[in-house]
Amino acid sequence: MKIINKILILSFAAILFSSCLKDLDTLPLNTTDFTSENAYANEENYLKALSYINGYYMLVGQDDPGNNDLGFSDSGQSEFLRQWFNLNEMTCDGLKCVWGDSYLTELQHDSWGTGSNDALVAVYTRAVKAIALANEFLLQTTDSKLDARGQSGIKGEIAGYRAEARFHRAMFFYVLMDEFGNPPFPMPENIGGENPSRITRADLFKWLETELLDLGSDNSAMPAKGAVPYPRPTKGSVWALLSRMYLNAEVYTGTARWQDAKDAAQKVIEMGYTLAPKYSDMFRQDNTENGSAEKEFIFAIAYDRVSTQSWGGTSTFASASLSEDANLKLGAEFGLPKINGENWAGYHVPDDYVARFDLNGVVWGSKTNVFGYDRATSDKRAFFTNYGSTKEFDGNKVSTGWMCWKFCGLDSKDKLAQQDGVPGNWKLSSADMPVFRLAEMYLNYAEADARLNGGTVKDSKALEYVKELRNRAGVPMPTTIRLEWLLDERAREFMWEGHRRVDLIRFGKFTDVNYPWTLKGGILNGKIAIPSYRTIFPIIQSDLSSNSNLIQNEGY
Amino acid sequence: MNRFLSFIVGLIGLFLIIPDMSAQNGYEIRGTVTDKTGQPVIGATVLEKGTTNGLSTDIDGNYTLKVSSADAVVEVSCIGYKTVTFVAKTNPAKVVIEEDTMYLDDVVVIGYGSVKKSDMTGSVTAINAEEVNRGAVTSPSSMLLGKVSGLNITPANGQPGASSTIRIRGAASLTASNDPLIVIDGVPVTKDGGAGMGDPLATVNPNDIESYSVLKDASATAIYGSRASNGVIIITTKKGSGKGIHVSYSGSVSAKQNRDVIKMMNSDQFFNYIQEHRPEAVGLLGVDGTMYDTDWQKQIYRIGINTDHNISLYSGGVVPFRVSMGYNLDQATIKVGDNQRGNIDVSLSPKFFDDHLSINLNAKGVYQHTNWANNPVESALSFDPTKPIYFTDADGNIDKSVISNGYWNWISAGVPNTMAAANPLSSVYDYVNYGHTYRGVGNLQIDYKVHGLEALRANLNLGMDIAKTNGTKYNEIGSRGSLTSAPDLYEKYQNFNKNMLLEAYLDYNETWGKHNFNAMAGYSWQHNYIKYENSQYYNNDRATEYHIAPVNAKEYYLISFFGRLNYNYDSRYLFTFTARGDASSRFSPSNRWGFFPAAAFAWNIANEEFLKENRTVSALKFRLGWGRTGQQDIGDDYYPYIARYYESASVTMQYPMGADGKSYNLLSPLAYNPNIKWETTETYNVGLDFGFLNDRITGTVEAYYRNTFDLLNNISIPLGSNFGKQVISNIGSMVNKGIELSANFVPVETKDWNWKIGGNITFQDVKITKLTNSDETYLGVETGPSMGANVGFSSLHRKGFAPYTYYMYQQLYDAEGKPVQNAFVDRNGDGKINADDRYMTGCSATPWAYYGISTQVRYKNWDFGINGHGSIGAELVNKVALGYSSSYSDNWTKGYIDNLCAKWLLPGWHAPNSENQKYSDLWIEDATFFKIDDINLGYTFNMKNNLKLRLAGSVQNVFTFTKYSGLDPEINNIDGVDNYVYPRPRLYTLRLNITF
Repeated sequence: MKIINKILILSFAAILFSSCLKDLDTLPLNTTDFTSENAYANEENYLKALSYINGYYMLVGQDDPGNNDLGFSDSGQSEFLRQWFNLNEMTCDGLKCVWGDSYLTELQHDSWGTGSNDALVAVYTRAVKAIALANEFLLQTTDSKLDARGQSGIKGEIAGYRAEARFHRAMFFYVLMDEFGNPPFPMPENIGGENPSRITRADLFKWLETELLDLGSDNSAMPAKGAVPYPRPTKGSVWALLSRMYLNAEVYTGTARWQDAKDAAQKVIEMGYTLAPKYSDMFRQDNTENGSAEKEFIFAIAYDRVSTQSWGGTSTFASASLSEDANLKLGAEFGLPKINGENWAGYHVPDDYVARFDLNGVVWGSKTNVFGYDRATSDKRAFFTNYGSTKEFDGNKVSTGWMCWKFCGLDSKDKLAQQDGVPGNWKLSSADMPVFRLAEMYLNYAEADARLNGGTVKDSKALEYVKELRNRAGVPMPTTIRLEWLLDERAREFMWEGHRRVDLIRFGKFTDVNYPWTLKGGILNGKIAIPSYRTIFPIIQSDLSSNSNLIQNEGY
Repeated sequence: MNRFLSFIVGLIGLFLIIPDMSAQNGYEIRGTVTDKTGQPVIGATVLEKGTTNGLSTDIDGNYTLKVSSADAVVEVSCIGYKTVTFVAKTNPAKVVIEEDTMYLDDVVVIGYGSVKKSDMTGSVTAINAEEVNRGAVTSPSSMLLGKVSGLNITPANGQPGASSTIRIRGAASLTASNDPLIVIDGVPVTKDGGAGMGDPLATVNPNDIESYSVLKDASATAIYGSRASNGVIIITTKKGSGKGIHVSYSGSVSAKQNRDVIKMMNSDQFFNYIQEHRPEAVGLLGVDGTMYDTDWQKQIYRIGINTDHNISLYSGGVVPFRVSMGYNLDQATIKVGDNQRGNIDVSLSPKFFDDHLSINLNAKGVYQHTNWANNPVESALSFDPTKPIYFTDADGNIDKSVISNGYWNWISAGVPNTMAAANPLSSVYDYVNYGHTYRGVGNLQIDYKVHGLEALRANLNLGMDIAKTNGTKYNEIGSRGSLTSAPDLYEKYQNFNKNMLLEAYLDYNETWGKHNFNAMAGYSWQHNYIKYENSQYYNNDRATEYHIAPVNAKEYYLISFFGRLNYNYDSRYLFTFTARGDASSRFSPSNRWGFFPAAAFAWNIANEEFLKENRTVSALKFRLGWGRTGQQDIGDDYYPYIARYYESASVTMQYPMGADGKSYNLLSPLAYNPNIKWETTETYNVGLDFGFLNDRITGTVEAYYRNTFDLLNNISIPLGSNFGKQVISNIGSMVNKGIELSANFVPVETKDWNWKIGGNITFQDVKITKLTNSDETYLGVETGPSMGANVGFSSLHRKGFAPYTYYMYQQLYDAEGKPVQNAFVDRNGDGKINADDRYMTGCSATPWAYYGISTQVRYKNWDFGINGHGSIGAELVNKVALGYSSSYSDNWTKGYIDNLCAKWLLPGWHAPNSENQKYSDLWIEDATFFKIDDINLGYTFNMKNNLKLRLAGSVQNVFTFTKYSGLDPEINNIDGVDNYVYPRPRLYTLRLNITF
């Protein structure tokens, strides 16, 4: 009996304890989950991975525009493009906001600290993460990896993808160099490895120049214009970025590169881009369908209210400015109920910026003239209304200064582009956002020429380029074109396209006490110098704490 | 359902075939059984020894029994009393039975076994689920409220089915779960039980609960190893008992009413205020010049009804069994929101082979149906009181043809104004959201005492916990919600949880003289599987697919070996050693195993010679304990160490990469941490249990020190080295220390009178002692919700402070001590107010003390009780007050206007609150409170034939004493930000119990 018991107990124990310690090696169960080993088994997945990198300028995550991967409670505000826009416009004269969000107030008062300003966190974090995504893509797409996966046949196609990934990496590095000066420098070997090292602004410029010249060279795998569908980057994008970099080279490295800026711009111009015939078409909901984007945009960020959704980007730029009243009144002007799905009544433009436009018959307080000026005879790049507002700016009031509807819910036929396809999506925008467009190459070319010629444009081609832009805007061409005028022309041509900060810094106006604007430095009349250390932003606190290779920028 | 019922009836029928003890001709005995105070003992068993001939005493303690002969030996026994025997012919008129001190220190259920209270070395509090002194109990956690030192329960908000927050000795973790492990009849239950079952305790019907054991210190919990860092609550349900078949019914009906609302301006007040202070917006008031007067809070609230019926059948016959069925309907005080629960509980506990083989089968089934309104609490405060409820036509009838199904809503250009809040009644009636959950928890426990080696026991426990939820969510067609959703969806979802358990252990007992040994060793295997399915359709036809999410499933395994050694010498010196090795599939093979040892020592001073005969000191025990426990419940990611790629299936987040704008799904590597490992908590405990004057005064004093290291939290990673902003990491350590006092006192104990007072208090202190970054300037981990509508954080985890310490601007005050709007102290003196001027306020939602107090008086058949609990020193951020602090609003420029609350408007605050103002320390308020949880009165009727009937009435959530200006100083948010709580109502309950 006892022996039987012992045998029973032993076998009982043996059965139990042998039951699978192997259970612990469980792997993800979902069909949407992969490990890096099997993620690329399907060849289409290379394009899907590249899609995420390419879209990371506007994507806040993978699943839902209301759910972001940065842990921001408002996903729209975690978007890279929206905050990049705020950093470059709200710190300057073309954009103020009355919502009272402290991070926006810090930007428009030029008083940001080293704490966690949300715009800085979003731009910095997303730029570095995008670089890491590109690095991982480059690690996973080497020839040897393709061979190992038995996919040697697609090496040619993948080479182009790799070049695109490198372009995006360069683009995000450019943003880091421009905004943060001396950022971390993650390379593929840093993934799962050592902390990324720090790179100085001048060294990053050097690295970027080498990288972009390689991508832009004739025998590089980077697709030429037209070789990949819009809005993917091409060699045009590479040279457009080089042109912008060279134009600001003196700011970044201390050495001016005007001739290189001019040559790079010329190289892009010669690739066959043309100006969109109608300026407003470029910012309308159908800017892809109406053809203007493909004509003029060299590199753009796509939005689609059905399939490429975001609560940031052009959805924000369209919704953020108008008040309810102005929205309804503008709508009536077009024979529509309104022109935007939503009216957030926050983004305002002080009069000192708007005054740069040729506006005829400006009136304030009119109940009949919705725009506050005579649109038909004014600069066609002006999309303003002062309906219900006062001229004197008051940051604590909503009804102050101008509202801007350059971005709006209308399409190129002045119809409300809403409710097509998905009911309810009309709050979101389908307008793509240009990063580089031909007009910039024209004005880069002209400015570089003026810089090379003592401050006045001499090159006849440059004059022709400027004239094309003036004609499109329906405004006369000045007799001489000087540098200061070009700065103003850029303010008109590129209003709310994220150029303003870098332009003001390049012209030395950002810090200059003699170049005031409303609320500059937090002073209403803006007559104040901004310390030069504020021409770059601080490295964000959390990364400084986690990565000991980083050093805070001087002055912060 | 019918088939199910007939099955139950059949099952019951099966057990009715129990040998009937027909009366025999013989010697009749009769008498009364009383305790030493002369109080009759009801339900004492009078049994002819060696037979099954016996009965229970009636309500007066009387019995009449025919025994076989005058020489038969009669045994009188009752749980908690010493057994008395006498020979039938000596039949005393009055049998006095004495309380059994062995039973006074009841047997307490601990992990993998039970122990006599006097032999316990760890910190364990046992609570019997008493019938008396309670009102309507819809959740098992409410029975523990305020009853156990070191156990802090924040009751659920007023929403039926909402979960309460249970903390044993404070939170030991930052990101990982802080919920205690709940073990029901040997089955650890999952927290995520499905819709309306957020509280793991909600699985069990409170009426089926026999007792709770709350395991607090590591020496008690370490046997549960990996899941026990936050303490353990063991629930034992009732089993079959008694002679013959008994039926017990308990039922209650309660009316629930909100105790308080926030007083908003009425129509007149609001009109006058706007006319005076914001004349531009007057045009928005009323409808075409007519001012209505709508009290929106009155519109959305109602008196809710809660009814509860339970019936159980039980017997302690050959196959002891208990079958119970319950039904509960719990209505919200908001007009939509009901929770209905039906449950059945079957327990069989037969024994075979001379009690060598015991089998315990427990099966619980719950069906729950819950529906929810689209929370209108916030909009009911803010909605314009000058507006009518409905759009009306010329005749004054509700005009449903107007947009948003006839409910008055702000309209802009023919569509609802999406910036404005919805009409609160739209949110209540025009939104459909319901779910039903089926859950089954069951286990089979086989316990075998080895023949020939009776000291050895083998125990096998097979358990499972399965839950399935189906839910549906949509807006009514034409409703405001439908018109403003982008896109408007009809959503169906299904969750499935399966938790399987296999445990086996061997237990060996040996006594040599005064040396008592007990050794136990076992093995445990657990598998947890969760699956979510979600299908979305366009709401207009509810058939066209919008997005059918791929099935999302995940699982983890836990495998453990454990053992315990108890040794005591003469019940005076007691030692316990436990060890558990746990492996979790959530960690990489190199970090997979955690080892969790514990040791405890107790000195039972009362059993020493010098105290044995002492009449003053009836119990005295000193306890010391140390142990380590682990934590692997680190959030939603079951595979945090694996480098993974995720391909989204979203149709709204694609990127146009192909020809003709063809969009592609997104494939991305995910953030991961290959080095993630166990979070470990080390606990030291010292305690003294005492009892004086024959245990008229009993109590415990304890002190604990808990150090959690390798603390799991989401922290910022060096960007560029991984794919996220944050990744879960083992980052630091945190110390929890505290002193607990609990005492029970019986001032009066006579035949007619009995008065008990109980109380407990816990003093605690929590501090983060280390964060991974050694940099002294390290800000800490940003946490706590945004105070505005947008991005932001309200608190930090920082070294030297309690978790979730508010990180705010310091409000500037004028000479009269009034706060100045949008003005703050420039703390770093750089002439600028920016994020660098925020400071650690030292305030958090963690109280420094919490306590519970209860008293119960019995006079003859009457009983009366009061229970209360409170907390001292917690501070909350009153976000609701912030929302109504300034009279400024630019909403009118967006086409609508919101109501104001006079009590929170601050003088001189006429500008918009800046974002910084929202993060001001001004909003921090002391939330010290004392609550009277319930007052109850009951009467037990004297009935013949073992019939027991009790009628009771109670009021619950009676009163709150506090200076806090918000609705309720007790909130469930760990971060302490009070943001439009669903009010906890007051309940008036009538309760009936019948047993026969």
